[in-house]
Amino acid sequence: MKNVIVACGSGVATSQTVASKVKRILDENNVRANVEAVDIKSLDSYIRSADVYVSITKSNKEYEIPTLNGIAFLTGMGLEEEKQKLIDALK
Amino acid sequence: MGYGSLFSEELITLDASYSSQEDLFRSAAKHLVDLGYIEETYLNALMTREKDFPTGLETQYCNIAIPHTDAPHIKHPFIYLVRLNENLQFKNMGDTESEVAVKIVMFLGIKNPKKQISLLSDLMEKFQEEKISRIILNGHDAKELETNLKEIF
Repeated sequence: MKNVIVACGSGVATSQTVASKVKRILDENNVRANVEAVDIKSLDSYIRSADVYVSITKSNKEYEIPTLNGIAFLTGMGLEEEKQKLIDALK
Repeated sequence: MGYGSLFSEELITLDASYSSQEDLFRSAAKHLVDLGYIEETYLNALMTREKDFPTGLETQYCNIAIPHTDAPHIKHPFIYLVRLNENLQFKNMGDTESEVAVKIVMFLGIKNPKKQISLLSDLMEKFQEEKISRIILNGHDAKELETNLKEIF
């Protein structure tokens, strides 16, 4: 099973919210994957086993896996594009 | 799952003016301490968190900010809504090098992140609806807005 990780500052609210939205989109599109919200401090240890990274805060760091704009999942702005990237990355 | 009960007249401030984000945060913290929702430690924790992880967001109908901090600083869950008279600049959550001019600030008092997981997602979904954004942007007084928000959420 593929893994999606979502990271935000503290994991209090935003990453969990985005993770549940991502999970819902995947369910609606019959894509099976694990979705996990993580604390940004532990991102590096999770990213090794991840297939897609949904980022809340823009980072200068480059990752080798597809990185999506998490804010789109929160606000709906630009969501269709990110949704497509998400599904394509997990096919 | 409804959390309309989190909205109350005393937690709605309409058309207030603040000289800066810090001025807004100080006033909000004072109000929330007076009402017994937060610990004295809240203000510093909130300001530090906003600096490290800003919460300005562009949504379709208006720009909002959702300042929040960790659960130990919260006594009772709350949503404190402040509609600003003059927009205030907040750093953008998704790109901290840019800023958004914010009209609606919702201070989120999250006491139990696991139980309140749907709170933020519901809030954000409602802000994607024009009708609901208009109600919040144009509501005449706190009492009326409380009634409307209780119905919506």
